[in-house]
Amino acid sequence: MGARARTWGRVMLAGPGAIIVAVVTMAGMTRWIPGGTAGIDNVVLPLVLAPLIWAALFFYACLDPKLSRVAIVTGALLLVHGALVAVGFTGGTAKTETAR
Amino acid sequence: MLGLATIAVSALLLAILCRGDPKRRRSARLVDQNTSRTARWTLGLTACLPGVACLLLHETAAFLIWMGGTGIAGWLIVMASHGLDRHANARRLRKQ
Amino acid sequence: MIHLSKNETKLMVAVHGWSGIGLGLLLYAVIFTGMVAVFASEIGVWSAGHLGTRSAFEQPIDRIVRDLGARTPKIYREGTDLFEVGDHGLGVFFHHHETAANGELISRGIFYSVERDGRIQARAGTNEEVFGPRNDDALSHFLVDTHVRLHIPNPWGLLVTGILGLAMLVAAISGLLIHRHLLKDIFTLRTKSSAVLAERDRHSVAGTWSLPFAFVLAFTGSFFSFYGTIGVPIVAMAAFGGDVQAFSEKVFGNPGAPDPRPAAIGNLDRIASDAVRRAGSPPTYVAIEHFGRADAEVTTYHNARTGGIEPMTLLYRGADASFERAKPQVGTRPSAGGSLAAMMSPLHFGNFAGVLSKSVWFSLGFAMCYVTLTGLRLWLVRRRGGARSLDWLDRSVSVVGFGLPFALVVSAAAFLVSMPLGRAIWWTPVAFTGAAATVLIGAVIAPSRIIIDRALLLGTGVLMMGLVPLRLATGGPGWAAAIEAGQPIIVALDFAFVCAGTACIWRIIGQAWAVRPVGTLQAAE
Repeated sequence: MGARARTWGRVMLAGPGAIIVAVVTMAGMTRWIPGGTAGIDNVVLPLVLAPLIWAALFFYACLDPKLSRVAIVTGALLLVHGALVAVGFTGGTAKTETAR
Repeated sequence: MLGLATIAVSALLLAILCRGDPKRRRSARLVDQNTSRTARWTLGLTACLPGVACLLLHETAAFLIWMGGTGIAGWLIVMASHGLDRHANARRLRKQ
Repeated sequence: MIHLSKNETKLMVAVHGWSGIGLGLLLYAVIFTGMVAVFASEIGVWSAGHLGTRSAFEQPIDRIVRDLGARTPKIYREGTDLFEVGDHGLGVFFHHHETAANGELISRGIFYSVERDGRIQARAGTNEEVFGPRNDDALSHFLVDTHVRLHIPNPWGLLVTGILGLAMLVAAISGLLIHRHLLKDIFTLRTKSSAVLAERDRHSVAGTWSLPFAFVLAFTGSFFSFYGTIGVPIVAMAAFGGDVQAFSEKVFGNPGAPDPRPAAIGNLDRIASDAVRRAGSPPTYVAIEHFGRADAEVTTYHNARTGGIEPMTLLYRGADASFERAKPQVGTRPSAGGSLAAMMSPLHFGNFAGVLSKSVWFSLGFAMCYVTLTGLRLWLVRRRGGARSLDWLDRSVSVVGFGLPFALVVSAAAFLVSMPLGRAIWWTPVAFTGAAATVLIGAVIAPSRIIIDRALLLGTGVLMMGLVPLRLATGGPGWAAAIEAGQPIIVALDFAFVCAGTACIWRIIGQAWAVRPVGTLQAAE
């Protein structure tokens, strides 16, 4: 991969990539974070941590010397959390829905 | 009151640290009266103790006030010290 | 401090520099207005001459709220919010919740504003429509609105300030990563050296000392901005199938078996006095769910107790005004998520310990403004003598850096003159815009950037000193009246404006006396 392509790849992963993965991760986290004593941790913690999640993804995309690893890690996060959200819509009910 | 007291203690220690800081003294062309490395680390860690004390006493408000206030105090100490150095240098130049 | 490779450091320097220069001017505007907004309520008291000290909740409210409830359509009694308006008057908002076309949860109802003399004004509409500025709080409202969304309509304004918060987060973290000798350089200012070194030291020393709070304020600020615009819709979509109201009920509501049988609301004065006794302070906000029903719940929100930062929340049964329990602000019982969410407000606003914590937060805001401004100057100084002239950017930094405080002081002066005439809502923003336009024109025609800086600093100083006689001349309370009424904040702010004005003028005099050789860069201080 040429240097120019690598630079653009890193820009895409750190820019729109980090935003998209952060948003999907925030949504997916509602599925696996335990509800906690008040049954709300799974909805409140993703909201509170969202800026930090984005920042972590941004700096990881900037600083990991291996671009392929960045793509794999962020891709895996996107797929796993996207799947969790999709399952919630299509299959099982949301954890918090049972409390309604 | 606890917040103010902790800031005062830390600020005093920071002022001592600032006066003996080797890089500051070098750049201000001051006589070599640097604090030793061990003394600097001791002073620095001691300056953090008031904040640790607030945490141990579960005084969250005082801890945050200490953290913010000490940061501001540190910055003001640097500015004041810089001003004093400039006056000292100007006086020295006039004498020469 | 943190050793990165050469390439990583180069990349972080680029990220730090370009995010700073790209968004720095807007970020400075948000930080500066945020710094001033720390004292928004005190500025409101000072500017409007409010002498009342007794909270609206320490005065009888039961009769008024019952009467207003009786004349409000039943549909709007789903939720009732009570809070102070103006000079310890009472605001009562009867509303129901609905989801707007864009998915945002909004409140629609009737807002009553009850003055201390008993006059009542009513406005119907959504929460966005009814909660506008009043004549007596136009200045503080203007300051807060500038900070929260730069007067850009929602949701775009919040998105912009959210992005600026993230930019500040990036700047703070990248600044930490690129500074190899953070602790060694923490006491060193080399202003006699080259212009680049001088600006670099000014920037990094101020930045290092305020770094933890730059991180905290950036993080909490972007949380607040993105919370309603992106966060809640996304989380509600994932966990509640898009039902934002269900999310709100889960996180903030009080679950219980519904009982829609009509029942008169319990004595609100008894609830208020009990809440004051338990919390040690009057409520800042009271929320009543299902007003006029047997399942009515009353929640009172209070500032944190002395020594703590987490706000207090008390729950009462609405039908009989009996105390139920103390509950966390977020969630029905204490939880990690709830505690973390509840800390966002005190960490961002610095209002957990009165004037002391606000003063510290104000000072930190000042430090961060200084960091932003010196960072912009450093970026420009590094590129001086380059192929392209950046004089336009240099002047822009002056226009925003010194022009914003100048324009805000002009708007404060305009508020003082127009408030007694009932025209403050119009004149406060118009004066700001006029001052900003004047600064812009002056910046274009001024012979040099230095002249712009000095003129604006001098103008700001003179105006700040003039605010005190202007406030008194336009009918504001004198010092004796303010102290007698128990509002020393009016005196304190008068004093603060005089001191700040003097400092600005002193700086100009100091700069005029200093001998500068021709052609030397005038570094920003």
